[in-house]
Amino acid sequence: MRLERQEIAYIRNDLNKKGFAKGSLLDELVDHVCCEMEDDLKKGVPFKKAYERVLQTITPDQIKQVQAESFSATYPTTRAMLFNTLKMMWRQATRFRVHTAINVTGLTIGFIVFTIVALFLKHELDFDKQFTHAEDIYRITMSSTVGGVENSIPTTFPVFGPELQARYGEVADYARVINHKYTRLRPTFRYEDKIFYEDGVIFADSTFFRLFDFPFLSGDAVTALNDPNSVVLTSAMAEKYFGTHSPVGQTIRFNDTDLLVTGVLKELPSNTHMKFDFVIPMSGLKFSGAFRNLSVLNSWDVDWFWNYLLISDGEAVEKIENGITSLAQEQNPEQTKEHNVRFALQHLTDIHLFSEFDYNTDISSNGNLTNLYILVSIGVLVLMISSINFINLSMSSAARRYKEIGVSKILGAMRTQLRIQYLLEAVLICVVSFVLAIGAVKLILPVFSTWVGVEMILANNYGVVILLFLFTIVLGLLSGAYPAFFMSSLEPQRVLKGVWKPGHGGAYFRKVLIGVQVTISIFLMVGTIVVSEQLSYINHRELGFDKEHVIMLPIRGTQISRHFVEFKQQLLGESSIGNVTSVSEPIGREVQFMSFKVEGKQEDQFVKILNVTHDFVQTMNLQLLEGRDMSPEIGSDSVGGFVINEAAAKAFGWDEAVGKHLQHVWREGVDGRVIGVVKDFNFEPLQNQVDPIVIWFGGPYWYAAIKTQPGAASQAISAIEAAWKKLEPEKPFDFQFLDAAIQKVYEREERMSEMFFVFAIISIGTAMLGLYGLISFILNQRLKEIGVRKVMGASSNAILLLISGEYVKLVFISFMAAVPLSYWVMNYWLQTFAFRISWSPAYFIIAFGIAIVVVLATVLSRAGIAADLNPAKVLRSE
Amino acid sequence: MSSKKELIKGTLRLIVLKLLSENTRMYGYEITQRVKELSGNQIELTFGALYPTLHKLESEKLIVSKTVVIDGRARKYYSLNKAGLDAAATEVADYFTFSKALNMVLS
Repeated sequence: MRLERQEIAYIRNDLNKKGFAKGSLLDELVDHVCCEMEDDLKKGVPFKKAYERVLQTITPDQIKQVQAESFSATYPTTRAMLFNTLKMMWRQATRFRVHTAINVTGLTIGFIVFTIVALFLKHELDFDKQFTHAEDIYRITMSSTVGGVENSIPTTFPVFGPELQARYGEVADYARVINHKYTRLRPTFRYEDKIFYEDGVIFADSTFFRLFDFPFLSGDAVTALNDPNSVVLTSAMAEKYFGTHSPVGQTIRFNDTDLLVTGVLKELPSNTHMKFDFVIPMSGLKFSGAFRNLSVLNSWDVDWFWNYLLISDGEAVEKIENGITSLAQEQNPEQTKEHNVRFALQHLTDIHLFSEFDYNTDISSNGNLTNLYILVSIGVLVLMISSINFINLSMSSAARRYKEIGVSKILGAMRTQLRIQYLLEAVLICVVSFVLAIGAVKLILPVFSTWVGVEMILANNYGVVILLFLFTIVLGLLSGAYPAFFMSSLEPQRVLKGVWKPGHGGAYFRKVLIGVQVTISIFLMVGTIVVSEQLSYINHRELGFDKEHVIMLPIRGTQISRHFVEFKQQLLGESSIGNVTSVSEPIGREVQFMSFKVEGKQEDQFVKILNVTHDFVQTMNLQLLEGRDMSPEIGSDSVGGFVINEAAAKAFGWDEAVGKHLQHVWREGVDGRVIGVVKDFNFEPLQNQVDPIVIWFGGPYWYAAIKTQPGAASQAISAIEAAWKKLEPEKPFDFQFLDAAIQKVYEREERMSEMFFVFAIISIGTAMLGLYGLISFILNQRLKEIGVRKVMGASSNAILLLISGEYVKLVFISFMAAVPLSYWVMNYWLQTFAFRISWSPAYFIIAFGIAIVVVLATVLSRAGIAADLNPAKVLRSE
Repeated sequence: MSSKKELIKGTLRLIVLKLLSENTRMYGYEITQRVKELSGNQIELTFGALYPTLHKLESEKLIVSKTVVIDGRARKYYSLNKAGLDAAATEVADYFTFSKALNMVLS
């Protein structure tokens, strides 16, 4: 007997309604039931009876078992588990949306900061590693002791290269480099009507590109530097002068000489210390204006060359190092012995981070290890804060799921299964944050790169990404470990009966973690305050001279320097201009030094010098303590009249400095005398002490320092330009304000201050986020306690006080831990400045104040709601 | 669980493979009825035991299924593929070897 269509429909509908099965399993069930019923109907059992009987043989339990077993039969266990975990995760995530968002956001931010800092660190550590022979390139450095002062410089004598190659087979190649710094003119390049000053000009041996194999866009690296009249330029320069034209084969005018462009380099990477825009062959050194011919290359006259050696055998380095010193002792015995000159070989890859040379003598400004350490620690700290957040929140959310664990166990879940599930859950959330962070880093990196002025690309640094990924997994495992190993071992009957209450487990541990976060945040706040205070101190400190209203005009190698007096007279006729002088250095950067014979001292003294002309003291508004400034009326002043600073008088042991003898070692027979003493002024950056300095009359005329009348800067500039055009119609007019130039010296510190600020904000924000999430959770658990307290007569305020009191205590303890930490680290940084702020308790008090306000605001925003609750609501179920 | 149930559970796979190897195609209820018939009403397969076994064999790619609409309802037919036929042959052979050994042990 067959079932009717409606009957089948009824069965199907009913089974579906009972929720026995879905999909194809429902089809099978329907068919099975129908077949069985048809057998019954044949025996004459009525439809209803038959259906009831068949249903009894099929219990929902049985169906569930079919579903589960079919599922696990179809999907192998791990996949089933993953699927299950994902499902559970999704339910948890959507049920506690805020919690999940806080968790993922916090962790993502930490990952982003860490990745960027790690990329920056990698950038700094990878300096100069891009060259094929980077591992085998060494630079000769020199240190000497003159008058008890030790000096180290990375430039040495040019004879070293060829001499050492001839002596040692291990010296496979050498390249000498010198830049225009020592030449007497500021280089200009001209193509058609475009003429610019260029500071990035180096002269290098034709072997240069064998050691430093910068990629060429066009031209041939092997022959590019063979002809003296050739030049290789970077692509940026090619575009600046030649636009879209191909520069190779074109002529460009360097000062007064035509050079043939033989190559264009790809833009130089930001992580090489060898920074330049133009390379001219060493054989073209005569065009520099510094040397008449190439004989300087074989002499011991000047030590202005960077000597790079390619050493094929690393074992030979020490031998060669000793060889250099003995070579110098052999061929230049007098100077070597007198100044105790020592030579060393510095590895190319050490140049950026491990150089401490005097007098600003490196090709480009090197990295600062202290700042790098601090930056890296900040990156690690921010990561720590967000990891702590994550662990804290995972632990507390696990405690919320104690009932779920109890039920799972009752239903037969095995402990291993639960463990794997919780570990997997935590790891998965971490991985989600990781993916988000990597995506965000990709977006942020270009902005960050421009900000710090280095190019960083994620694509070249998979190591960093892999490292972060490993960390992600470890963090996931760690934060999943608590629910996985502690909670999974709970006895279900105790949990479900309420003998074990959540919230107690790990509460102490969580408080310690919050404490660590607050400590780090306070540290970063103190750091931010200290760095910005130090910077503002630098910017506002009285330097001992006027930096305002002073225009620094580079006149090196121009007609102006040749006709300086005429130029000065013309300017002095202008009402907008107060005073004019010339000076050999840009004030506020590092200066040169020379040896002097000093009255009362046996040995020659190495002293920093400034070469100036009349009115220097007045123009810079230096304070004369004794004597007078050089005067045009007294002829001997311009021959042997020296003005020294207080520090020099002290160093030379003079009580009455004026009238004392001072003689430059190269100018024997010229009897010099001190005519004045000025108060110490910061002619070098504030990182440096004010050293003794001798100010004397004469060239080089590298800068004109022009004091303008306040408020008349623009008239002054047009007057200066008119005077410039009259004497120097060829070269472009270019100037700087002294205060702006000085501020530029502290760019690195400025950036550091900004970074500190940004990271402090991020870390405080992250910590706040975590705190908010955690407090919401903890208060939720304490709702009943609060309810009971209210029933017993506690006021809302008393409850607020109770809850916030705990956190005030916590912040206070964290503060106590943060004080020595911040003092120690920031003091270390401050030590890099000779002129620095002194510590003030205010720095700590402000940081403490901010921390307590932020923590309390976070706590109260949640606690307020809890305290105002109607106790009847929370206690209803008791 | 009674020992009979245990025994059925252990040999269900074998039963299904053997039945399918002797028939081109069978559906679930048909299998339960055939087993009942062959065993002289001694072995009754329940819904909860049979279908997981079928699905498991399907996921092991030993049997294939085809759904056909018959009598106004969908019916899922199962049949062995080549691998299933081989498995049926070896597993049944293995069983006889084993059962002989077991008999020797138990008797």
